[in-house]
Amino acid sequence: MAKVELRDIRKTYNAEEIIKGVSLDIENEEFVVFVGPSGCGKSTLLRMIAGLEEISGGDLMIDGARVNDLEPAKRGLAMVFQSYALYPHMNVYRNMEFGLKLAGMPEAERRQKITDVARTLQLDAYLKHKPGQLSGGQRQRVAIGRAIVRNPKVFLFDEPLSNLDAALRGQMRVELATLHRRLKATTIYVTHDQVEAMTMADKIVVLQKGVVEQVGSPLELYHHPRNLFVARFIGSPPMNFLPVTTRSIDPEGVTVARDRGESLLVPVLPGETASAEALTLGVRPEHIVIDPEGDVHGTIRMVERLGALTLLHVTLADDTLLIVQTDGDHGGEIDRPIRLRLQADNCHLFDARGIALTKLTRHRLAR
Amino acid sequence: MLTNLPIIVWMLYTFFKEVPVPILEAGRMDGANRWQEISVVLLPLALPGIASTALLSLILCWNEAFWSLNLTSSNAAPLASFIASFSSPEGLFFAKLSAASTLAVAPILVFGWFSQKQLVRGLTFGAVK
Ligand SMILES: Nc1ncnc2c1ncn2[C@@H]1O[C@H](COP(=O)(O)OP(=O)(O)OP(=O)(O)O)[C@@H](O)[C@H]1O
Ligand SMILES: [Mg+2]
Repeated sequence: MAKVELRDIRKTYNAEEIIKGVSLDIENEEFVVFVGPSGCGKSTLLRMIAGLEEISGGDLMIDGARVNDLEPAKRGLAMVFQSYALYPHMNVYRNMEFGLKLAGMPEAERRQKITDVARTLQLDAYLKHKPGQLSGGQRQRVAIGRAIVRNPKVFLFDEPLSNLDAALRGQMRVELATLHRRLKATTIYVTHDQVEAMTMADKIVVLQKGVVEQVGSPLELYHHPRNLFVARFIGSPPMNFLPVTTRSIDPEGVTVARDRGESLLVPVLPGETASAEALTLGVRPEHIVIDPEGDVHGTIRMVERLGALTLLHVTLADDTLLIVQTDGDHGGEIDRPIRLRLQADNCHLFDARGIALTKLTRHRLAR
Repeated sequence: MLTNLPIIVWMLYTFFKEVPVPILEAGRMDGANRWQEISVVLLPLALPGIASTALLSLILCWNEAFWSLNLTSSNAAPLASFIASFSSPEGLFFAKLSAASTLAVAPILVFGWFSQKQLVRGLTFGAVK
């Protein structure tokens, strides 16, 4: 059982700083997900925690002890690689046994342990198979099994599901979440798939260019993104953005308006904006309502039917594109005019620097 | 024989480079020290490459062997022309030609037979995932 602390962790490659000072507390038993666009440094950060990459600056603490200079196996971690990285010349049993053997565990105990883990992962029938004879999902299970048998204090995952097809990915997501609930081991999980991040994480860490943009629970990031980057990154389809100007500032919120008129009272703290300031209004597709009385007028340009849902791509008079989510039965047709209403309570305002204005009330599920 | 060295170094280098780095890293995460990483993970994975390099080197050496053996005498001839010499204007010495060919081919055939699995794997190693 372990607590992992990052204190101003930095990584420099050829004089270029890739990780620019990351500080983070990962609590015992917590499932933490690192997300961010490709190249933002997620893997580098994870590999530094694992000990596969040297730490250029800062302190890495596991259970209060500085482990910067400890070799990987001594840190009490286990890692599951994106490419599985199984030993192709060893069968499933030997793959799982390798680490235990090196740790000097007696034969009988090893056998017991591997049999147990193989049973939970439904691998018992494949113990004699070589990795090359297994399907992608089974290989992934072996990789997970190899990590579990060692009873690590912390599990590290680097995009473990990205080589699987969509159906299997969904299934493995559930299995991993169940496994985490059962093993209760601290887990650090890297992905660029925000669905994985939202569904599995206790805490999401959003990274961009080696900097932490925001840390919070999935719903905190969804309802209270700290800046434009997080707002755009979390949620699918992504949030819509409209340029607006401040019209009036009252205790119950800030009233903003678009060029053409319609105004909207957004419940944010009044102290963070000035009158006539240019702001960006953010609203998620699921927070736009189709309303015959609505004051936003647009034209449907595309209809995407997902079965349970329909996504309408609507352009406004000034050619701004809005994606609107509605139910699957909506009979929207291309080139028809449509009237919309934005749910003011679920709208976000961002200042010129892209920082969100603080909402008056916290969402009840956003811890 | 020394002329084979560059090609052997080059081939071995390629085969060792083909071994996926994450597998070696997995070994390190599992607690393997540098020596175990090399002996238990790296070498077995590069074995097909080592085998095919060895076979190639053997073939090259064997072909040169006669040439080297005869280098000091007046009739220095590589294996191929030594065999060809049995088909001459004086007549086709079929028996001798066959015998020489068999002798020349046999060791490679035997060695190749035993290493064919490794060789084929070696030559296609890395071609597919
Ligand atoms: N060995 C290296 N030498 C130099 N630069 C490197 C090295 N490894 C990574 N980088 C750089 O560090 C940055 C972060 O890489 P990293 O692999 O951590 O990204 P990532 O967030 O995991 O991306 P992805 O989602 O594509 O896996 C990249 O810009 C990359 O070019
Ligand atoms: Mg990566």
